[in-house]
Amino acid sequence: MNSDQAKPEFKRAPEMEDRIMEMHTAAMREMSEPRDGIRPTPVLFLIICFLFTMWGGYYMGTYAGDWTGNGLSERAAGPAAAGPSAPQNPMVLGAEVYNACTQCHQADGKGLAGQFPPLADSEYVNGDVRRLAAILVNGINGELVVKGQTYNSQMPAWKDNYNDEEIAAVLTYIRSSFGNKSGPVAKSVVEAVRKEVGANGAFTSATLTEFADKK
Amino acid sequence: MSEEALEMAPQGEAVSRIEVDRSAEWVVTIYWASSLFWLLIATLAGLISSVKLHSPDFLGSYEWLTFGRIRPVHWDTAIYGFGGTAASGTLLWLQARLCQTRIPFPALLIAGGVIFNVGVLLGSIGVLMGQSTGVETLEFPLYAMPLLVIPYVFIVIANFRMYFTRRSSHTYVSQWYLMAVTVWFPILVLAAEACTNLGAVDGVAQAVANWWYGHNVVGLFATPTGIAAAYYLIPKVIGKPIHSYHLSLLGFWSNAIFYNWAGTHHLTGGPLPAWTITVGVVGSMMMFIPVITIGINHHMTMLGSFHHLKTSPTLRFAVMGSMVYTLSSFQGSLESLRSHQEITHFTHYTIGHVHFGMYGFFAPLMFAMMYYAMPRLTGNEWSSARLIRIHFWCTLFGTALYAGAMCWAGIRQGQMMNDPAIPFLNIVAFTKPYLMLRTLAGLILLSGTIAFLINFVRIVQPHKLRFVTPTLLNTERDYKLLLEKEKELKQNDK
Repeated sequence: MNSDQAKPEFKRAPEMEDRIMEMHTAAMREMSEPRDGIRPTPVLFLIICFLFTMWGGYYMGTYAGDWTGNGLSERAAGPAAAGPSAPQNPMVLGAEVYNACTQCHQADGKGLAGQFPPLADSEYVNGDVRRLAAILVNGINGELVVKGQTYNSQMPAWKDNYNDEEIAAVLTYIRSSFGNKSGPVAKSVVEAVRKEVGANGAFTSATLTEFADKK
Repeated sequence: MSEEALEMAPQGEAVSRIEVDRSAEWVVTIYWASSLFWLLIATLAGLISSVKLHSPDFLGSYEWLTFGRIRPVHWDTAIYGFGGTAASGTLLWLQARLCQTRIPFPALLIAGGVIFNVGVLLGSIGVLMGQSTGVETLEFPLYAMPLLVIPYVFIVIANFRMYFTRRSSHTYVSQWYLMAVTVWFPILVLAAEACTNLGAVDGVAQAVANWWYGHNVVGLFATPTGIAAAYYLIPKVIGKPIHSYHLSLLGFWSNAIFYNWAGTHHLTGGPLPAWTITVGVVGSMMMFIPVITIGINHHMTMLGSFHHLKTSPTLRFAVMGSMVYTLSSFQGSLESLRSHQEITHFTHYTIGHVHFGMYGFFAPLMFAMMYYAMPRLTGNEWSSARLIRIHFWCTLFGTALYAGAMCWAGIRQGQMMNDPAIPFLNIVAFTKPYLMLRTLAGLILLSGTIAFLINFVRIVQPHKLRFVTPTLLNTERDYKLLLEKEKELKQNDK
């Protein structure tokens, strides 16, 4: 570095006539254009390439769902895929379904004061399971008194979004969460309610009471 | 001409180098200058999007800056504005150097650069006004797209012209990639536009075309250009031949065969025939072959020459780029597996990966090209080694922090989302500190970009005085002294 410091730090920019020579000190000092070496391909690497290719064939053979145009499942339809699925723990399934409810009833089940009724300690949740299932199946509109408070909003019907097992699971979940300690809801209850009123529109407070008393 | 000047006259290969650099002076500088402008815009747009994710009210009252508009502008200005122009400048200069020909049609190419910039500007404004097409990576409204495609046709023509009038006897590996890019990219854009915004196909097939393009614009446009730059710069700076020609061949063709299939892994779990995704997964995993090949070629060439990293700015960026290429490609291949996606799909992990690749691999290689070529194009030297060091460390730490924070947050986020016992809002709250880290990483990257911009503006300014020696990382530059002396000189001249 010492020898460099002795040299001048700057130079004058070249004038047009000897521009070519002086301007391109950078191009003149650089190394020649790159060349190719000719080392052989490592054998180990060729083996790795071979293994990857074999794996690719295996994966395509196993997970291509028989190459059908409308098969969504990556496994070909076999005995394993066709068998009945094991029943799920309703508390786990219910918690998963409950994610759809948190927008109104909130993650803690306390609802929003004046807008959405709470599930915690609610007489509807902890009361008659048939009435509770009916609310989920068809939804409910208009005024509704929960825990002495009057609410006026709309709960949508869930019959087209979830099957009986899922609705039963979420009911079981809300009946034993947020401090509630009521028992589980059987799938058959939801099934029966769906058969009875599933074709109707949303309930109101009056028609719900009528339905619950009918029994 | 003085005798001294005649003695100094360059000889042999240097003659063609000088000829090439003179023809490239304006064209390539304009492309690279605009790429840095768009990099700044893209970084700012990215920062705004990032802040909005942890502080939703930030700039919330401007409809132009809502997340749904500013984020597409971030990505599109990054890939077209920065990526497109940086890669085009690289392509033109590298091809001219390696063919030992002048850059043909300079006026046409400069006009092309201007049109391209107008296109990106119009497209971005369109998206900000709410005219986004809603197709990811092709958000620009249709009226802006011809302005991006037509200039690229000029570049394709110039590229072929250079190749077929070449004076070099040997076609170097970088040239294969550059030729391939000019064939692949127009096909990609036209096919993808036809199948999405122009409506040649409907429904899920549109999504397939969209992600086929979305993955390939990175894989078959940015990546080959980056690899071409690394193949050129590493042996060039250290003065050794590239490790193995046979490996270059294997790497190029396996890349060409496999990358094109990979896009559908973005749609795992979507309503598609299972085989389309399976093929995408296999295509992605087979990318291990070209990545390992290219890795061996780059890293084995570097082996024993790491001491150059102390001094050469070009080499530092080039080696960072080639190393991150290996790492991010390994990550990307594994990420495509269904078992991996079960956790990381639709999480921040993917965003971490994209930035790792684009800012850790592609961008540094483009910076390396600029650090190498700009002194040759302008005849000036970089005015400050300190600014180069700041740029390098900001790029390295910013990218590492970004990718590290997002990937870790993504893994945890995915695990928590798979556990129904955890309420969704808790997961959102968990990611918040990591989203703030991302903003910090963005600020670091922005500082690096600004440091580079200062150096870039100074090198393209016409100067009466020039530094004599090249700007290495361990040299100290006194730009103020140069300006002072220049002032004195000007007064004396009067």
